[in-house]
Amino acid sequence: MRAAGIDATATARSALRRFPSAAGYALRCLATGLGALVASALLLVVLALCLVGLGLLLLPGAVHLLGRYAEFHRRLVGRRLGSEVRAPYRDDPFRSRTSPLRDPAVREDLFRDLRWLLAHGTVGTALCAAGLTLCSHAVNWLTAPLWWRLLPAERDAVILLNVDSWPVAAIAAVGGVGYAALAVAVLPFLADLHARASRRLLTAPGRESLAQRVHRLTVSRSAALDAHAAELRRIERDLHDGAQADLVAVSLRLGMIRRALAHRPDHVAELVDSTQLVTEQALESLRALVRGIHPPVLADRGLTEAVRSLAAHCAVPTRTDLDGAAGPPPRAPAAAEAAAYFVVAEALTNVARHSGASTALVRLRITADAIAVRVEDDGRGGAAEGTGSGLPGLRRRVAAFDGTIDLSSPPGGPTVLEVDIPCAS
Amino acid sequence: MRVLIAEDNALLREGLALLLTSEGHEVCAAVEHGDDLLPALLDHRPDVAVVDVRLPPGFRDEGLRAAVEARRRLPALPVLILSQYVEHAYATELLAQSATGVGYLLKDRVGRAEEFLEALRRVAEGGTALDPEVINHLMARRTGPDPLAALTPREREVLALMAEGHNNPAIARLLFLAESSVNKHIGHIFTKLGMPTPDSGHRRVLAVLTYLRTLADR
Repeated sequence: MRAAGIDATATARSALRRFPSAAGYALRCLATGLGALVASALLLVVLALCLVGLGLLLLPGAVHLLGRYAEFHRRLVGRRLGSEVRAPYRDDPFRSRTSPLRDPAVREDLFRDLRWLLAHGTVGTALCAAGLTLCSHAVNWLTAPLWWRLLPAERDAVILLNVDSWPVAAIAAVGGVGYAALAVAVLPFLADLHARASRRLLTAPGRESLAQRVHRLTVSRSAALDAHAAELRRIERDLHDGAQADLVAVSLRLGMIRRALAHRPDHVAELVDSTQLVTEQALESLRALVRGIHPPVLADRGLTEAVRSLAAHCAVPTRTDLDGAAGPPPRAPAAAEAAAYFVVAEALTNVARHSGASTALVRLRITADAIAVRVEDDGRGGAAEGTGSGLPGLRRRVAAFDGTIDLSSPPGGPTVLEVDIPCAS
Repeated sequence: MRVLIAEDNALLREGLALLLTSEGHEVCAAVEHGDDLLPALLDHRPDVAVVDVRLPPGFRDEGLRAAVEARRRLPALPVLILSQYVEHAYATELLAQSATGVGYLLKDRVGRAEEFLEALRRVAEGGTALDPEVINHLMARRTGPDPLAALTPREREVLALMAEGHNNPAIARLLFLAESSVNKHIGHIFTKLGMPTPDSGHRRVLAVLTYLRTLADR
């Protein structure tokens, strides 16, 4: 009995806690929903104006604004759900910017945003309006005893209930409590329903035709080539300004030793020591460079072992859930393995640097078709791109394989990064 | 001498500073970023600057750019450029301004301490120090009639050393010859190539380089 009571209190408390953010979300969505309704009407006008030519001038601006509006709403929904809401292909850095409407991905974006705009303007608005009406009724009834006497006699004081005497006002107040309870219970549910439905619409993948598929593969292949070229430049620079210059520094010390042998023999021992130190530093930076190109452990022991070693060296205690503990795991193509390895490495670096987590979990699944990586931590969450997370780099790396990245990191955690790298041909 | 060093690799920068101070020179500044180089050069006005061609932020030719600009503003500023590999355009660009107090050496040469210090001294005194690799490129065999083919192997050696920026006593020492025979070789070279004999020194280096460059550009 007592336990049930505590349970009910806890449920009520948690519902109350959830209420303000749900109400805020519903209010904002009501506003954007009405905006969407107006925008739909304006779009129709622009389309109609296209028939007389004038609309053609307005169309690009309208399309741009539509994209911005949808993007704004994606952030709104993302904050509500605590995970990033991202249009498929929207972040594709290689999509055509010169002739956007010929790019199937851009057209997909446009139609997706249009579908959303119509749905949000009608059903979405109605949903939010219903939830908020419930709230306003609750307030209305609850506060009836405070103000019913101030109203002119011929006016209905409250919707559904005509408050014209103290007893009725008291009944309204009691009913208001019930209304308020209903609103507190229902509004977060409605807000979540709205947010989830919005996410579905805002992230719906288009039906790709074969031609679109080929187009995507073409751009992702050129992305792969670009990434490859950038990687080669980085390696060239590291070799050139790192290893090669280090060797020159060693040679310079040797030159000094030779000179000291003739002129200042007492300095030779000291110079030899410092030369050895310089050589060791040069070796260390060369080792780091090699690790950055293709980690030796990956080449020697395979991805599973390499990931185990990464987890073991992470500053945050990290458990692993690695497939194929029973037997040797299947080997994926070397490039896909390397990409997965760097994803785990980067994710664990972020966990150690930014998350404040006390534990992390790395899960790895290697099948014939794909490598699936999931890195989870119990840190403070709130991870986002562009905060020194190295996430754009990962995205590019994974995009080269036509893979997907999914990051969920609501404030308060947990942070979950899921990456899928297809490796079937 | 007061020397300014511009090199982004820490080990090499420290090594150069150590070498120079142990030889009794003063390192007035050691710069590692390309953007800091020009202000440092103008500010310190060193007796000679040792400058790496590639510096951050772009790792292209920031060092060379800053050196060329500094020499435009302070024409007598001696600069010795160090490069990881021989890039013809760099040497040409440097020499286009003036051949006094200019050096262009492969980084590898700093391992030969004596030769490096000697080249640095030469540049600081207003002379020239060009890497043998640069001269090799300039003198490389090419298609068509080659006036250099008329030279004996010994005369080619002397020509190359002249172009690198060495004076007659140095050439004599490097080739184990008497100075008088070096003079004789030089006379032959100028006659065979049909060049007026310049009055030695920097003018001679310049004349030789100009000649080789016109050959190379042909």
